[in-house]
Amino acid sequence: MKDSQTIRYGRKGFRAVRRALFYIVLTAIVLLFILPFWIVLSTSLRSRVETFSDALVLFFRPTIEHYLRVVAEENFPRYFFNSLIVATCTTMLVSYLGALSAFALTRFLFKGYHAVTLSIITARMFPPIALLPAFFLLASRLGIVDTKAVLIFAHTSYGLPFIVFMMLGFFYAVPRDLDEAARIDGCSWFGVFNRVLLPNVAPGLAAAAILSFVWSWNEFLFALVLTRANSKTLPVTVSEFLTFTQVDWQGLTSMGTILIVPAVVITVFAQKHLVRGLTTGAVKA
Amino acid sequence: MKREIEKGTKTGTRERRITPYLMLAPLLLGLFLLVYYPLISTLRLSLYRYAWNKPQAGMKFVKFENYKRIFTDKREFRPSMRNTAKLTAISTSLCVLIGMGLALFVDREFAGKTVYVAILLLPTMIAPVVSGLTWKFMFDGMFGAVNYIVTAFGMQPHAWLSDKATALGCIIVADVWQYSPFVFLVMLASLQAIPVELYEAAKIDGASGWRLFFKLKLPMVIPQLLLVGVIRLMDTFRLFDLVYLMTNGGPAGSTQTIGFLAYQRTFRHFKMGEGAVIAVFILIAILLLSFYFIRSLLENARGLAR
Repeated sequence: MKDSQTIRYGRKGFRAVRRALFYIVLTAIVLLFILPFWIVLSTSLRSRVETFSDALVLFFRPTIEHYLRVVAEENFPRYFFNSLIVATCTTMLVSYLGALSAFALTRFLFKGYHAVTLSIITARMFPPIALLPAFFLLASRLGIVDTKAVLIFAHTSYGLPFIVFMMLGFFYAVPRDLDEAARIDGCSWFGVFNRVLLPNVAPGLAAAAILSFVWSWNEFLFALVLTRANSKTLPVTVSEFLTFTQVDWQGLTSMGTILIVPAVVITVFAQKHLVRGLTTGAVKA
Repeated sequence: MKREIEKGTKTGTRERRITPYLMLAPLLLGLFLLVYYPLISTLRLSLYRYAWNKPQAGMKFVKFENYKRIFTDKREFRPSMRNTAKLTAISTSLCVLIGMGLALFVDREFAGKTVYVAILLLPTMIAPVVSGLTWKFMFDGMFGAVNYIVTAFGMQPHAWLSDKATALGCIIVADVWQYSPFVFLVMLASLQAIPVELYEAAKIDGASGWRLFFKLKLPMVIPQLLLVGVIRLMDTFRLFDLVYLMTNGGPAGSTQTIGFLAYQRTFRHFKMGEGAVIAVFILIAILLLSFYFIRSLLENARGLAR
């Protein structure tokens, strides 16, 4: 015992070097991963980019002229709010309905239980492109193409299976004595859900809300097919600028930066919830 | 146990019978109206000829003609299958290798871990539109940083995205950059879930380094590794957005994937039937791939219920 300890303390200097090396390598890897972000951000903040060597110069006088220019475009605020409204409505619907469904699936045994579970899990697999042709036809027959509502419906129904499945674990973790007690006190099942369960699964609800918001905010294919000039979202707007032959890189990098702000904020401030949400299904809680 | 509780409550049995259906109604309605109905409808559509820009021409039942046309299409469908196979194989293996390697590297206690992990996660959290934009810019012939780096090493600048030989590689880079952090995250979580006692036991046996990896870590995380590999496989197989944003399928169809082809036929060439055939093909391939995933999700759900 004593011997091994002397050996360990004798290697203290060696361990310090190893530690330093570890940090150097890790920092290098992380820098490599965020280098593209730096390039996008710094391009958007330069007054003018002449050639490719400009994008990597470290020191320059930042300017927000390109942001002002982009935001001043007549329709930008509108598309920004479209994105915000769609993502917010989707988040509220998905979180509440997802929790409600997870509650029903963990608290009741009913006829068709397995069929319902299977249909939810399978729905999570379907590629959007397999639903879109028919979805689009249906929407255009109903005359609801290019409305925010159709996009909210699409995002909600496509996002729900994932969220329901994510929440099952949180609901199983709440002891059933709690809802039985509330039942005896005369609560209806919806009352049990709203008053007893929801506060108890708050972390799960947070994870669900965060993931659905980011997902809906980022989503591209449904938005591309189902919206036009009226209810376009930001990703579609950006994609239109990107596919021009003469690309305005500085305007585009400004828009891209605006588009990633929510994701960055959420990743920084809600990392714990995010990790839990992203690893569901793959790693047991 | 669960069953006993259900039957033990005598009050409100009728309410108890109806409530789960009421609670699940919005979800089921959404699923059937917006997922299962369109799915069946797409299946049906694949048997018809229909141009949605000319609805007055109507839908014409053509049996399997669309299928025949697509599967014998050597000009677009087969090359796009080849591209998709290449993309899926390379991108998935790189994601898994890089993600797993990073997870092994980071799986220890050190100061500032949360910050490093948060930064590494960023690419996965951003919109595909932004990653497409970023990498189109990085690979741009005029302003791209990649050319800057390449010339710094004494090589010639290159128009990466408009060269048939390199365009698909650019898309792979963007995809790997965006999704290897996802693999990293899942693998890090599963490595950290290995019980400490197992490490202690392995230490007593004198295992370290590679032996520790092959004898303990890998066997413990292999189910998650397979799962996350399957998720990546399914996602890259249907890849659409990066192609749409970075190359639009070109140059000369060299980055045409089947996901993109399905979109193109349906919404640009207005051939709904043919587009639906490709969509059905993608669907079946993904369902076959996802069998393993669905099974493990079901097992997970049952495990939780117990």
